[in-house]
Amino acid sequence: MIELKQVTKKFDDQTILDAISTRIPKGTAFGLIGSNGAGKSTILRLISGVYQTDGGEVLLDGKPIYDIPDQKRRVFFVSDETTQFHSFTIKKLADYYKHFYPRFSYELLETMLKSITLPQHKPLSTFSKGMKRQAITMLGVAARPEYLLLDEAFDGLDPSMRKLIRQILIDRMVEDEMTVIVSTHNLAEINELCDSAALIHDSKIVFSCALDDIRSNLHKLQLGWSTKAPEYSREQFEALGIEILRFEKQHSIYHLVARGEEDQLREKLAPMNPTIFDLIPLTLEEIFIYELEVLGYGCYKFDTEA
Amino acid sequence: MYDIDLQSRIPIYEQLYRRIVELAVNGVLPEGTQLPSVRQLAKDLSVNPNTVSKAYQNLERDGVIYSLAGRGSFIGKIEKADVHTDLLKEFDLAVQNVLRVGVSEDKLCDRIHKIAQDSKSGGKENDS
Amino acid sequence: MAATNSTQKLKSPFLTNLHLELRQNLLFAILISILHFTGLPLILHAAKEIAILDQREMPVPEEEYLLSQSLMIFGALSLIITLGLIIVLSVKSFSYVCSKARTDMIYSLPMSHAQRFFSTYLSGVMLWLPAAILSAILSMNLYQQIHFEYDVAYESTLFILIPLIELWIYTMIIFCVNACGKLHAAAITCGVLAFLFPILLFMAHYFVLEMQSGRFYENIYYLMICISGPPIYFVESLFGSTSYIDMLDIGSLFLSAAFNTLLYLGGAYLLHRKRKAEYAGSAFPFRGFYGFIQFVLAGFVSAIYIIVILDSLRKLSDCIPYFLMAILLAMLTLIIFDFIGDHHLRNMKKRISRYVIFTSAATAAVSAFLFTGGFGLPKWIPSADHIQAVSMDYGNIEIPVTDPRIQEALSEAHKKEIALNQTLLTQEVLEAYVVNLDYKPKQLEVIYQSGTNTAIYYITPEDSISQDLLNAIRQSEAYADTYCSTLEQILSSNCYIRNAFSYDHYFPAPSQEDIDRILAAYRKDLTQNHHLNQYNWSPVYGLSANTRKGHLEIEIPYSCIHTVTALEEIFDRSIVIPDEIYMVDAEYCGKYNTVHDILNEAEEHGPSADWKPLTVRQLKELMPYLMCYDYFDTSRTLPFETSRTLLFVLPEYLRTSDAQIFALTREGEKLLETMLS
Repeated sequence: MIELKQVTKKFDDQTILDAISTRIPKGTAFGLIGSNGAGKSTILRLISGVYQTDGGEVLLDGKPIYDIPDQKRRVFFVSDETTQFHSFTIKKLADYYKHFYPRFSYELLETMLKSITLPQHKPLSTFSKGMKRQAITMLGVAARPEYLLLDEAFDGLDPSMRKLIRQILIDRMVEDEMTVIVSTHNLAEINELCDSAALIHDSKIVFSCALDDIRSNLHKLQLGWSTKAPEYSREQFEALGIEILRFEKQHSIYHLVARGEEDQLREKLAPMNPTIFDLIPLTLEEIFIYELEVLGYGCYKFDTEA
Repeated sequence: MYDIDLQSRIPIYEQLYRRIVELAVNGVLPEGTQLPSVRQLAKDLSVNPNTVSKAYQNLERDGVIYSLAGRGSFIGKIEKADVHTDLLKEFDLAVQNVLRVGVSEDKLCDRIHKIAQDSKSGGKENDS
Repeated sequence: MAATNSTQKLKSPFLTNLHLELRQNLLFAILISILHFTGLPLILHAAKEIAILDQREMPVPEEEYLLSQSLMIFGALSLIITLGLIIVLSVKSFSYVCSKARTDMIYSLPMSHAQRFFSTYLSGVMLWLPAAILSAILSMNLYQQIHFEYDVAYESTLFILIPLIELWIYTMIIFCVNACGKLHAAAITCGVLAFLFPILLFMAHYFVLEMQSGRFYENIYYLMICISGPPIYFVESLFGSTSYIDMLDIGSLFLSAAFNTLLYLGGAYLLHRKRKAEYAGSAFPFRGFYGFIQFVLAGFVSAIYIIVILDSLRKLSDCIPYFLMAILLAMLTLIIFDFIGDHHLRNMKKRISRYVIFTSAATAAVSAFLFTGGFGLPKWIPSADHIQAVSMDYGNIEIPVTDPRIQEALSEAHKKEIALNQTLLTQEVLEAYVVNLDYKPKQLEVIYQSGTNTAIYYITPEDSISQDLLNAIRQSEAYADTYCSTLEQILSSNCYIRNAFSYDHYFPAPSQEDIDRILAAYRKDLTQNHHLNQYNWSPVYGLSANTRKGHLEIEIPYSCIHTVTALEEIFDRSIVIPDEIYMVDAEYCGKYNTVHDILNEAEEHGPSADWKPLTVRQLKELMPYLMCYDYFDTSRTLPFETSRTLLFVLPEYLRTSDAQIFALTREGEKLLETMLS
């Protein structure tokens, strides 16, 4: 498990992360969401030992990571930068990483290269940006680390390529119990792959949780009654013991966003006997937006392009 | 077999849950059928294994499947499973809509009887 | 997909990285090793070939030199390229700290900072140092072969310094790269540390020296090398008033340079370990170090300006506008420097306050240093009790004056004489030395020591000294004793005597008894209070000896009566000075071009009517009025500069090498007229 305890990181005089704390359990696919510059890449770099904290600790299974090779060996960081590999070929990079990551597997790399064909003996400077990303991601997977950190790894990849990479990652999660931590500003990627996520905004972690938990605990309700029904107020619904995040009445339909499991909500609303009772699951975007609203963050635009 | 829509509002674990329940209820997956392991299913569907795991947990919680240590998960007795609520919800919704469009209550009840009878004979046919 | 590759044996990251770096740079290693051997060794080999050619008796045609000359050029090019490659290597090996992308990649590898730093550093060193050391040893060997006749032990061991200097350059550049976040900032830092900083230290040292005219503090020099490294050698040898390299022993030079290299290595490691990944791309991430650079820059500019105006400053109040000017100049330098480093100037308020602080501090420090004459350092005037050693330096031979009586004489004079800005020997006195004693000493070396302070006073002909001190020394019996006993040791072997007429005419080593006799006579001559006649220069005899440090010639002028008499008694008079000698007046030889021609003519056809015979007595009478030329050059063209030039030739040795050339002074002309008529 990776743990961030009250981690603070500053650049010059700007605070990027302000005493954030979170846990990333082993065997999950964890997403870091936030707008550009929010600090997602910073967190990844803190975990991989590139950055040092200005306050707090970053721990892997209880022990710090920075400057300790035995800990760093368990983590592989795939950066969003691609220029550092220009003079290397895939073969040379594999050879290079093999020396540092003893679990590196050529067979695995070759198997992956069968589904994503890339030239093994040409320097990476001849690759397109997408190809570079794929190459480095595959090398990271081939290193078989316990924790694979991907910084905007899916950026610039088309959906079919994303699917291939996702398949590879899931395969590794299943076979090797690898933990994947991805940073992205695109929710579709989170949706497809991750089971947990943390949202970073304004140098703080807004929330960090298992996505399915949050999904099962937040619902959109559309309630309607036949005519001659009284006007219901928000407070009346809340009086039933329901936490309401949003309350709107359009025409004769009440649109609510309420916290609670589906069964619970049904139970609680049953006494009111609605004629129309639609329980709609929320998209990830909606979940995040509503949660942010509750916390007082105004308009927030997520990138959801699939 | 498992049609998972990654972009759907319905969470993946929920989709998986419903699909397995549907297949079990339909008889496509009769009682005792072994389901693929969490790992295998995750790989096949390219879905996060934790998500698959959650679906299986819920299925097991509701008695739709049972697992034997070291052997895997199997479809259980669908009649004993806690699926009535959901299915009845669907039924209620359908009934409400049908009533709303003007079909009479009696017509509805007749229809129910007919379906029940058909399924009994269909079941008998299957037995023999 | 089954990943079946078994986990490899876990090697230490240090060794892993070392192995990878070496493997990556293998070709480079081969190239630079070859270049090391085609560099200095090739130059020296060519020099050796040229020296061999030079020694041939017949003049050698130009073409034979061509190969050696081209080898020399090739060698020089190799040397330059080698140096360039070492610089490139040092930059390349750590350039990743200046690139964000590469820092990400390398910092995320499972290596600790220490492992990474040392494996990278070491791998670079291993690529070229072995070859450098081998080629230095080879060069040393070659150099000794070229200069086999002299004792070149000291100069040849200087070759061992060369790999150390290469290591220094390599380490210093690595330090600069690690201190900065942008490569061009590192280049500038390199310039400051390799040039400005040593020059600044040198200026301080030189200024201290200038105040002292001839005094020299060894400890400070070692300290300077320890702080700023080998560039000081070059600056000092170019601009220094005395050759410091000559004076220091190779061991200390080596240690100081090694210490400075270690300092840079330690500094580079500390900076590397301390630096954060996000420093990549920011020109000067270490504020403290940046401040130091700014201070040196500002100090340098202020120092130059203040030194230039220093002379004209009288009252302190006059100085204010000049100080302000110095501060402004320094600020301008810093602004330009910042701009070069950063390409834009953000946070102007912060920067301006920083500039003001640094330039004022630097200017104040420089001014304080200059106006207090080096913070009173040179004010240490050794007392007479501190005299540790005295010696007379004649170039090839140093005669230590250990007799306490001498030292006492010096002390006495010292007590009267020594003060700041006063030195010891006058020109007149030194010339008297020459006349009276013999060969001109290069300098008088007096070493004072107290605790850790060492002061070496070099009294050279340019300095001035009072008559008293000279007399004190001259007149002391002790001096003559010391001198003669030293000579005794040298002359007892490898000694021969020649007469001034003939450089070829050597007489075999006299016996010990004879030497004792000669020296006793010489001792007497030394201590007598002679009327110094500057025309009394004509040497009659020469005492020659080959010492370890080279050839020693002591010319004995005719005014050393006792010595001359002794010599004449020891050797047969007739051999020393012939009964008859031919003299020709060079002015009358108008039809000849060089002395060589005259002599040739005489040899072929016998002396012509122009040649006049002189008796020994006549010659002795003329002697006081004859000035001998220092060297014997038969290719001299006629007429000579002085009024009358006379040639004297031994009758039976009518060969070019036996002619002695004298110039006759005005007073002597009359005498000659009477003699010839």
